[in-house]
Amino acid sequence: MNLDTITLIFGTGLFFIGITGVLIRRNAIVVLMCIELILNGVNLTFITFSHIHGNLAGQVAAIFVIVVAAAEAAVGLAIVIAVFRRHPSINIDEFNVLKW
Amino acid sequence: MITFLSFIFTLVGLTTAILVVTSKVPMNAALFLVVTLFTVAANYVLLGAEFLAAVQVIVYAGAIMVLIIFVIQLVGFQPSKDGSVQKQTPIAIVAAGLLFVQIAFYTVRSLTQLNGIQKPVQAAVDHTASFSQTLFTKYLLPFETASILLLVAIVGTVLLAQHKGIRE
Repeated sequence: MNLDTITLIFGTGLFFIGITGVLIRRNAIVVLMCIELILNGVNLTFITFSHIHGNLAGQVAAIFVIVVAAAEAAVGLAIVIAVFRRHPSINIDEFNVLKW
Repeated sequence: MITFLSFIFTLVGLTTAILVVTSKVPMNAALFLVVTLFTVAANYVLLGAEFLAAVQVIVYAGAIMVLIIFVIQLVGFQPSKDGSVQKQTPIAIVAAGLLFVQIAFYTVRSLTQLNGIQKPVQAAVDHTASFSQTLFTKYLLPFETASILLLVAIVGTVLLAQHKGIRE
């Protein structure tokens, strides 16, 4: 067990826990938090492989993921607020206006 | 020593990540998520990505989590009668399990392939300097594109969150 193995396992675990949370939880804000967990798992894997190969492209990819995550969190929370104003619930099972 | 520290951070991070998913109250989930983000940042430091660790703490644990906690306070506590047992939970667990098997398979395979790789000699000691050298020369166009993405996100957020909503 060296450092790279442990952080790869950490990244895989974060990705899996995040996917499970997105599929199981129905609270829109918790789903957004689980998406952050997924993105962190991916970032950790990028940086681990950047460390293994001695190539900085992985770190550059990770910083772009952080930029996209910040934009996604801002837009997602704005959507949650807009939906909550019209319809006082944030259970995503009840968001079915656009479904049919 | 580094391996031991990384092991401790991984243990804490995975535990709090599970607590993010399982806790009933969204505020508790948000506070556990802050701990997870800090352990990820600690692992970045151990992997030699100090600048990204600082960005992780400032952007993720600072800005994004403040935004999420602000929205949780604004929306208020939703008495979640759904809890964690709903009709889609078994299917969701099966789907997530299949994904986990797939990801774990490729992780294990890449770990066995990694044993043959010779680690290249790190020429630069200053990781941040060489990182910014790469970012601002080879990846300058994606960097500028990211600024356009942020501008679009700002405009979209203001449009979505304003009181009248999107004009019809």
